[in-house]
Amino acid sequence: MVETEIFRALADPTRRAIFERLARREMSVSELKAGFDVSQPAISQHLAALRGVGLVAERREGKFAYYRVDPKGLAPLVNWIDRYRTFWPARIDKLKDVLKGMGK
Amino acid sequence: MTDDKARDDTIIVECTLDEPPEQVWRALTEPALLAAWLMPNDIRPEVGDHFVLQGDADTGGTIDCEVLAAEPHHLLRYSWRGGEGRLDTVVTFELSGTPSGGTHLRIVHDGFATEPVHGTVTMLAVAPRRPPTRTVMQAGLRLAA
Repeated sequence: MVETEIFRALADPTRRAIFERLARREMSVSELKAGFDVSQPAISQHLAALRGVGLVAERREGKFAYYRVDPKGLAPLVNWIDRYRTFWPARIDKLKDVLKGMGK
Repeated sequence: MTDDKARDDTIIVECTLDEPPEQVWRALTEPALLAAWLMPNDIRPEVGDHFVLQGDADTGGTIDCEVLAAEPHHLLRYSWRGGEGRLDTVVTFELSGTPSGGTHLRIVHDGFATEPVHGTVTMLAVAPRRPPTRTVMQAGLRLAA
């Protein structure tokens, strides 16, 4: 399921940091590398993982590639949270009925 | 009942119930009572106990839980993991008595974007949120808005 992959992709601290930086603005790999103590291939690997789950989009300009956050990428995760946002209030209504039925 | 929208990756639902905390605690921790409002289950409110909530399509199937904290009539916290490891979240129930003899119940469901729990129960219990994750989510959600 897509959510699992998103959770997994964001579980890595470096990847999370990359995602956070790209949420601010579009960057090239070398711009991204400037802020991290990891090699360029490692950055590229993290970017590939983020792109794989749709969190990051790539734009090519000649031989340069730029990366930015894809706003649609987090949607499946947001859907889960939204689902539980309505889930709990509905369950509380049921809980109230159960409590009434228990007597004192 | 309020729903705190300020923290985008955390769900907080609060309500006031007429019944006292002792009774609400029973509804949260006795399998038959819990089943009547949440899901069929085999809960035992003891830290470290593993139990299962038999979820339906609403919850994406079975939820695997582990009790992380259990203070009778006050606090119940357990992990909430969707089948096949889809979700790895934590639910906390906080109960406090009201002057009129009822219960203020606060449900916090969080961890929607944190690392898998594997053996970090204590850490989660002490610090359920990790600020960097929240920043990530908020950054992403701002863009998505």
